[in-house]
Amino acid sequence: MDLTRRDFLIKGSAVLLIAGLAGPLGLWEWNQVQRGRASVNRPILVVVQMSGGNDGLNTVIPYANGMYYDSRPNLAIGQNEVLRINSALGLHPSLNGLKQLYDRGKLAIVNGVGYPNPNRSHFRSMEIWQTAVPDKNADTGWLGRYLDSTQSGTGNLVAGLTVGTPAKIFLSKQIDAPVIESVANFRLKVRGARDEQRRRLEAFRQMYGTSDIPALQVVTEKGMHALQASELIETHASEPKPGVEYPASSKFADHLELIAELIGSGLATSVYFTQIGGFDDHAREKADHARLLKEFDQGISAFYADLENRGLADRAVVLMYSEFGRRLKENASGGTDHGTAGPVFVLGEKIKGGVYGEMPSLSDLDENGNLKYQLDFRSLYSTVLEDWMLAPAQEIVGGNFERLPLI
Amino acid sequence: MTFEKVVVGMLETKDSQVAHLLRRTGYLATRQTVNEWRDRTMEEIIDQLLDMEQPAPVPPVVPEEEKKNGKAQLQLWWLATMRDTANPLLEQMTLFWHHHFTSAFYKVKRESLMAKQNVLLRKHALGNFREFVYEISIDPAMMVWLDSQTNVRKSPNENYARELMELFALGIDHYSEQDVAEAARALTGWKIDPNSEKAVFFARLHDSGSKTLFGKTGNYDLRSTVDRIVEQPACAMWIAGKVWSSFAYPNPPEEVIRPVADEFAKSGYEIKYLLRAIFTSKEFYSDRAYLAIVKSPVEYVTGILRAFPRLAMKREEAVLYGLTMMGQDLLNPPNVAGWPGGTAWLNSSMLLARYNFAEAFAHLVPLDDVPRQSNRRDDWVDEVLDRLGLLYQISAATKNQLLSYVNRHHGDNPALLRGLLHLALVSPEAQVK
Repeated sequence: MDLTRRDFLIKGSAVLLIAGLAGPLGLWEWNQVQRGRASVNRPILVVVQMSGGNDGLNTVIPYANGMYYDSRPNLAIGQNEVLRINSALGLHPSLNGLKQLYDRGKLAIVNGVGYPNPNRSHFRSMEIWQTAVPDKNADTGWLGRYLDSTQSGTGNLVAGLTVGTPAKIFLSKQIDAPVIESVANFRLKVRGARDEQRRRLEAFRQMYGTSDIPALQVVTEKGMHALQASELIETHASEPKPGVEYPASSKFADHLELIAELIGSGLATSVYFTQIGGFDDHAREKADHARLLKEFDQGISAFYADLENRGLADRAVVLMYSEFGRRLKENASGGTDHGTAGPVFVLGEKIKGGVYGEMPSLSDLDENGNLKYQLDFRSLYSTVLEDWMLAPAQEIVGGNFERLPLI
Repeated sequence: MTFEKVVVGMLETKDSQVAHLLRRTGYLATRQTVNEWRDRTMEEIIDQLLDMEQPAPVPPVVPEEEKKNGKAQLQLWWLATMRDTANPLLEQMTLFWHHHFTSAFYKVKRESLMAKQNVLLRKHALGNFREFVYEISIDPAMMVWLDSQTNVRKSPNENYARELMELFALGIDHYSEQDVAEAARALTGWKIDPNSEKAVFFARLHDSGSKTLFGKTGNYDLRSTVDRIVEQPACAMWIAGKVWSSFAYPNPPEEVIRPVADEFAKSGYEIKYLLRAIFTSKEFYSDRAYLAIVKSPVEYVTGILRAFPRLAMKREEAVLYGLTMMGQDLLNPPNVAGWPGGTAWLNSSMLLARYNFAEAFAHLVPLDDVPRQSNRRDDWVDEVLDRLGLLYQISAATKNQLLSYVNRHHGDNPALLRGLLHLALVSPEAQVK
């Protein structure tokens, strides 16, 4: 069943109207989803958080701006080193793969993304990006609300998946999105004879049925969910598709490889989240940042090649952000301190590649010497939700934000 | 031998209250331990727990050729210390402070510094909070962790000052950006001497100019900055709230924390007074507190090690690997906020890792070490639960499931005992305390 996006939108909405279901899938499709099979070519979103505050100015580099070089005598990337994308901007030399994807028109680079009253605490700023609620503590994440609004009551055990370190992004009122580190460990092991395995599993299910002690209810829910989700993933885990080489000894690449496998298996997961950490370059940034960006670049490039190899590159969009950029002026330790706005990457076959948004001025800084954001991050979320996931962005993001013509 | 019936439910009986207090203070709540304490008043028990002699275990010095393995050696040493200590509350609090004043191997790298920090955490675990903040601020591992070494007059590095306010002492919204910048200036000038691995002060790197902290201008240095921060009313509330959440129940309402914070501040920030205020409060024994805290992986594992000390470290690598899979690579928290904790420990992969750790343990434990005083297989349920310190917290429903497992089991006795151990440890009750 292969629908064009337009067909999909129209048919989806029609069924939705008839069935009164909140979500782009009709009843029949949901029956398939409960069995863990994606029956139609649903859109998939993969969100990658570059944790620690990636130095945006040394990622998408304003190489034609003298202020950049004046502010970073030790850290600036030379004009002849940057991978130029236009007359003003170039990518860090570690980002070879992204440069190629950009040249092929698959990569959108969105400049100056941030939010009002920037917070320079990692944790608060990550929370803000993950909850899409900048001004107060929210108890749900934006992907959690996406799941609440589109998948409540579907019984889908794997509506969203975190591969690697979890975060608030999937906090939800109704949906528990599992966290997987590796498939081999994501199962309940019992050694011994068949009948003993059955007895123990039976006892487990009974113990985790329900509890009348309030504090135990969350434990029984989580435990039962873990068991069921692991059974589902186990039936879907496939051999990696040969032909695509992921970088060795990179956890980030391992996680992306698993996501590609799960997408390839037809698992009914529509949103994935993973992280790459270590961007907090307060000191010795030059070498550390180059190494980490390389790992990032190689992982993302391999992932995209894998999706292409599986014929699935048109199914997925990858959104990559960091909780904040770093200060324009380098510090005395060969690093940079916490900053504000930064670039966001959006990758996919269906993405209109190019540069979007205005690069923040390097001379008109805020009172702390930081860039002023040009685009609210919720604009990007609204764009991928509404135009890619076909979901009600306003309700999920909590307001009406201008959408970019990325898709 | 059969056990007399244990009343299980909320914390209504003296025994259940004693068991609750023991669980929260790091003890294995076995019938024998409860019996040893039960004849004293709760106040007496609390004072005795708090005033117990404080050992000062010495971490191993890792030889040069084993540096690569340094983290594992230190982790195993601490786990063994938690297992064997005569003062479990002291280790419980040391672990609490490790969750609070974080530092991680992945950045600090040197095990000698991490070992030194561990000793410092234990030294102040039940001591004076103000003194604690002062010393942790110039603890070498912390100085590496939060870049204090690069915090110099000419170019202040705000990392430590910010986390000191945001995470260690005040909580977000209780300070301004200016306070962070000014405190960073006040804390300039400290470096680690590479030979002694101690903090030394260099006046020429210190910004001795006047600074304004929380609206008061002065010539702040490290000590007066710490004083100024700790005396903020938000500090006692922040610490009281955090300790309460780890020992009584999460997300306490302000009115519950207020009197505890007041006691803490009134005592001059003595951590023992803070704990006493928590353990003696009625709310600590309320329904809301019963089983309300999810065990951290380290607590889950040390619970097993305490119950079976002979098995303990034989399979060291399996223990450390298991902890990592459960989400807690000890001495290596994911970031400066520490492990998210609470129900975050219950995500699918971490729970499966617990279940699988329990399975491997039950599969490997030497059976001559498993209690079997009764000949009736039904009695083994209580025997196993008691050995694991779970007898006072297992619900009637779960116990019935364990009994029904015994009744359906037609295999030999060893297989049944292993099954019981596994199931007791994967029970919902075993995940909480």
